[in-house]
Amino acid sequence: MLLQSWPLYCKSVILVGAMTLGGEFVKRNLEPANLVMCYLLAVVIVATRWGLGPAVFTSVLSVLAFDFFLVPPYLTFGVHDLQYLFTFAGLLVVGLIISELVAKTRQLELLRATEKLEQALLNSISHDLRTPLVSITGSLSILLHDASWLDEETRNELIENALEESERLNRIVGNLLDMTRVEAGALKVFPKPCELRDVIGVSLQELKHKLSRQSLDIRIPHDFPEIPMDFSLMVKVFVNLIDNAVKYSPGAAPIHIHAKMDSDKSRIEISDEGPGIREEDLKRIFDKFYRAVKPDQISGTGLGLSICKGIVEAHNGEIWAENRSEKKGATFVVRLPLKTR
Amino acid sequence: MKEKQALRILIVDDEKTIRRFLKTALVSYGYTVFEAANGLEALENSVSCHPDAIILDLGLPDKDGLEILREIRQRTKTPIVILSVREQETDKIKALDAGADDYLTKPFSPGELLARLRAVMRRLVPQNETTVFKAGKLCVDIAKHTVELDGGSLELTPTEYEILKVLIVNAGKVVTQRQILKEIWNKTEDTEGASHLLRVTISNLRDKIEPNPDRPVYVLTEPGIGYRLHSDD
Repeated sequence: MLLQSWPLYCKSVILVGAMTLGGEFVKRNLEPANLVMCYLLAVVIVATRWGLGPAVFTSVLSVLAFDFFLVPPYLTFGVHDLQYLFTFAGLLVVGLIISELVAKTRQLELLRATEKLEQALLNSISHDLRTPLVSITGSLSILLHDASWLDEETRNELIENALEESERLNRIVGNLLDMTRVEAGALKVFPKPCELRDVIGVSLQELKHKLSRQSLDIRIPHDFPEIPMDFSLMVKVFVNLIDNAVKYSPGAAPIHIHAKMDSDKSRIEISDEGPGIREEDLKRIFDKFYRAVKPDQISGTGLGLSICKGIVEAHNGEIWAENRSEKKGATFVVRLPLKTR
Repeated sequence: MKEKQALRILIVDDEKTIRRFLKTALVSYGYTVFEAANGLEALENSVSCHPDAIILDLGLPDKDGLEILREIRQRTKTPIVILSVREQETDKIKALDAGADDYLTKPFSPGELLARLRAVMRRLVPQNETTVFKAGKLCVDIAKHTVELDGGSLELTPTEYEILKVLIVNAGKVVTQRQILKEIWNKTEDTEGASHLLRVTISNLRDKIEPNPDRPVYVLTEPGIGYRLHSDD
């Protein structure tokens, strides 16, 4: 905590230094007690920008600097006039109170922002859940009430429609559960040596309906080393990545699944020949609920990639997206260590 | 089903809608169906209804599903297929260890359920010695010791053949890693290098019998649990 915020403490020191330097110029003309206001200003600035810790630090530092530089005798912590002790106490107390008040306000604001975000997430989730439900209940109630005038093909279409949408609903619920596990830090990874070809094979098997007309270019060297992985979780990662590649892949263009060694780590690349990813989205697509492009025909909750990231990082691995250099399309790279730590 | 007497299935699930849909599916395939809505009924009916197979939901209101499974196992050897929403493989392994024959993770299609039931009930029928196993383009003649893919004869090592045989005997049913290690090498998962040996052998087996070893269609992996041989019926 302190390690992370030490730049803020440095900035606070600089600010107090600046106030003191300003005080040096005017201390002949002004009662030192009036200079206290400058320090209070510093405390307010620090509290509003950098939070409680640096603000308290600034309050204490202000008292010390004020005493040392601006109260006679100069350049000592000694005091001639005892009334300055009151000034010090006043400065310290007011500084602390301001720090606390401002910090509380900041927290409230943060809380409000979080609530807003949660509301937005809830809206997004209920929309995602409700859309398939509308199709399911719609299709089924038509079939239940007055299907007699429909030809068989239309009836079958309605049934298939309901089935597809239920599967989608199931995927969304699964993703939400996985996300909750990743978020809660409850994601337990049990890595055991796995054959990459097997993990990819199971992932492809899970997607077999979607891949029935998809051409695949799989290149996993026969002597590829076994990788410590949590089999089921890594299947989720590859299912998500391959599913994504299919979504953004035009027509008959193949999906490429390549594995190679990258120094002492394994590197698995899933590439498509789709439109690629905008430069500014490359990092953000791994954020929760973020979706780069939202073409209507492509459905998703924007959770898949953040789940992938959570799972890969739990394996001490890395995952990132890049645009292919030689061709159009995007590549998702998963880099996994060959040894468990 | 071609059997003269309809096969009897006991469905144990506390959700009425799930029981209704399972019953409809099973009755339409000629099974006789009995129901139980909780653990107590399940224990009673598992004996009194003389089922040929039991479909058991692990999440019941009155008792822990694994506990019921164990109690049923103490009373009868009837094949049991577990229904579970839990995706965690440890739960599945626990259920298999406690005596379940196979599992299905919700949601599932009636087709999958029927395939599982047929696979687990095959153990009730005495195995024919001259069995010829066929799945897609794969044909294994156990009596003649021959393996053919798309009409062409294949050379398997003795170990590969033994593993394939274990999978064929259990065709359509999950076979745990532990089961294979014990039957083929008489080892456990804890034996150094045993699991690795199994993975390598399966991989080599796939290279020979799978039309596309990158996308196996016969020897399927059940993540974290074992393998399942695809069966046509």
